[in-house]
Amino acid sequence: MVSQVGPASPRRSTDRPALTALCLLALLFCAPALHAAAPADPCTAAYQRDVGRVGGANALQANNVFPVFSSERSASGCVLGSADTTRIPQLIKALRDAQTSSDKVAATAPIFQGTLAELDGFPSTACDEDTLACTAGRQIAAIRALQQALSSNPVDLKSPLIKENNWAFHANDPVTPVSNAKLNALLTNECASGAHSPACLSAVDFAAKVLRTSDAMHELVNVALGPVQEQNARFLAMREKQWNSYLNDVSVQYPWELWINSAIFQKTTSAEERAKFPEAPHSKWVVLHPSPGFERVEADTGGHSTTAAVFMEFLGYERWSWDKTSGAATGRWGASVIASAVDSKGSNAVGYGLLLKTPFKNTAVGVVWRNGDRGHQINVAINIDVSKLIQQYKSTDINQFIGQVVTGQQ
Amino acid sequence: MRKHVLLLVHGMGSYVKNDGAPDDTWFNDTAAALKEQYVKYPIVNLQSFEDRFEIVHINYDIEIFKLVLRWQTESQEIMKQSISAAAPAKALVGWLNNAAKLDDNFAWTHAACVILYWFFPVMRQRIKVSVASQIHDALATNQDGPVSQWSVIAHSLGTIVTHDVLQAMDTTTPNEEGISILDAMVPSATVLAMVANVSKILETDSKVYSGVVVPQSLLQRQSACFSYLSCRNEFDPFMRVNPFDPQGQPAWNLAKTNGTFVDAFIRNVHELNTHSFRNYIVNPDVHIPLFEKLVGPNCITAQQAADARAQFQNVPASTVQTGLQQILAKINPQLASTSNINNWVQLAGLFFAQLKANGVDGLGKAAASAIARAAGIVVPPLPGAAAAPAPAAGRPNG
Repeated sequence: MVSQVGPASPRRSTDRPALTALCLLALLFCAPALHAAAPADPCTAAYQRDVGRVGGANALQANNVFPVFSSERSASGCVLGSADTTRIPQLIKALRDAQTSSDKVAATAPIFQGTLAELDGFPSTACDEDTLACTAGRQIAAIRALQQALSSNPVDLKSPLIKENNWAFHANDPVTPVSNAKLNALLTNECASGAHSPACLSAVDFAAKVLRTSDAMHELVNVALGPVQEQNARFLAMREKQWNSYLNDVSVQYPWELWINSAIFQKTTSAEERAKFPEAPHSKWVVLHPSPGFERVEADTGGHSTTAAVFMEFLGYERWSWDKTSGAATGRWGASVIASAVDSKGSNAVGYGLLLKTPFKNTAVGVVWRNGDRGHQINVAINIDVSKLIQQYKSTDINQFIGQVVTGQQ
Repeated sequence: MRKHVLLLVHGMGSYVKNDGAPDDTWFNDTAAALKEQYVKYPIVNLQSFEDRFEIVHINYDIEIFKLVLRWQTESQEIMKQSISAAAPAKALVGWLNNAAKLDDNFAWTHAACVILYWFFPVMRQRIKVSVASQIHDALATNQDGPVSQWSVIAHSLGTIVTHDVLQAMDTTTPNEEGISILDAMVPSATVLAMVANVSKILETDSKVYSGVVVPQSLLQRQSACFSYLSCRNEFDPFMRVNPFDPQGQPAWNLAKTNGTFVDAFIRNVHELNTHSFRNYIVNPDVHIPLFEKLVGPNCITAQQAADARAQFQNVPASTVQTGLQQILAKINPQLASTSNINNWVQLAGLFFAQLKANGVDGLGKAAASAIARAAGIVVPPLPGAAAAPAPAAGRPNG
């Protein structure tokens, strides 16, 4: 977590006080002079190549300059990418590689220094106009404000400065909210005299610096928000496990059951909560739920045999808790009133009973009362979650499942 | 620096293989359809499609398939039993016997996903969380750094799924700071492109005109997306019932004026399936504003845009109308006359049933006739003779 950063570095622009003073008097006219004094940004050469690729400077209107320039930004990697010849990419890499909080704090200070150095030579007065010089002033002021915000203790993560949205450029409206750097408008204005004019190239050079410094600040903001991201990720992972468990691990709900349980969920969860990521239900009703199973039936000869049965759970209820760490359903219990249909000589085809649900492979055990040739029977019944088991052991025979369930093998 | 992350969200239909693994066919076709248009414009194409975008497939059909597969498995196990007294149980679940069958099973592969999403709130929550997790994984910071640009292209049912998920991700704040899941991770989406936007008719817990999934100008720096592109086609039957059309909403009108909301209302029939993504994206009135939002303003010059529109072989409206009358007669216009979700679901079933019935006086025949007439091809009299263009094969996904 970035909780502190070093002090702001003195700006090297003060090394050229005469030029700076001149700029403050004639903001609009200074950009070309500054450009001539500084080495060209790696994005500027790439931009010039691209103008050639789309038909030359004469083929472009001033308002086409921004998309050409911004394409190059990521295409050539001239902004924080492989073609970026500034030292900022290395500083950011060091930040990403930092493991501990203190390492991250240590890695943050040089990024501020390097970023502010990018804008060296530009006046730092944050005036309102959309000129190159005023924009530079606002950008520098915004970077310093972020430096201050990140150095406070504790860091106010709700500060507008520490917000991803406030440093990002949207291709369709390239303005940085914190510094109100309107690059599309600036390039359109400065390139009115041609896509290769000195003023235009100066503006491209400057625009690259604004993008680079903004992207660098975005990296810092993202790192500062790391602990929040981790909490959010844990929350989402937990919800994912719960809902997956509710629909895929707990015994299957038929469409009518899903509808009934949906209606209950809808009634017991507020609309506001439903529009977010509510917790999965802690219980479900079982209604008219048929399932295959087995019943230990008394034969007409007097012995007992295990025979296939189809259970119909008329009404049942199952509840559980969500484990706070694993997201699994724990402490599950439930019961259903059932009818059991079997084909067994000497016994009535339908018996009635009670099924107790267990969390073990969604199996349920119970008793069935059934009449037969030899009178009243009380039989043991077992029911398994066929679909779940088949999903789990697709290549295994159903009878093997039963054997595993009965013998307790996993 | 990360590429522009482009999330593709599918619509209704089948997007899984028989083993339940994701089927990427639609996603690959969609990316190809987008790229076909992308390469036409020199400034846009300065950076190759692959270099500019990191395409991410968001698939929620895998969750739907898991559920219907369980129903099918349970049903088949019960149907296997030869116990005569089990007849009522068999009657109850027999209709679920083919729930997970993927081919020629339009009721389950198309209508069921809409029904499960809209009528079953617990399934809706399951899908939301699954999609949110996929989006979270795609947008999370990795060794290449944070994502600074991302966008979503959603189609059909995917439009309401995307709306609901982004609304939840941008309003859920599970931390002490009270910062939403999206806000902590990324800036707003550059563009949210809702193609064949059915989010209004299928809206549920949050309202599509008034949440946070709106153009940026409606909620300064608070909305989930910067620009909102909504696309509808007059000849797409699903756009006939309560389409997304926020006319009369002052904030949306303002957004339209300042360009953060684009309502692309088109009229073209370039595929038998007028609901398909490709039938939308071929139209310059859809892809030009999309690229303007994705790449930057004026990335397509005025002349290039004018040329693209002039060259676009838009089927004359009168011809399309004639052809579509046959389709709509089949679909029963009364179904589309009211804003009712039941009608919409019936419409879905009928549309895809007609689509499947091409060559036999169905939708394919009618649409093919319309296109052929517009192209000046002699069309054999209906019914009976073969239609000119080949019909859509396989499973026509929404």
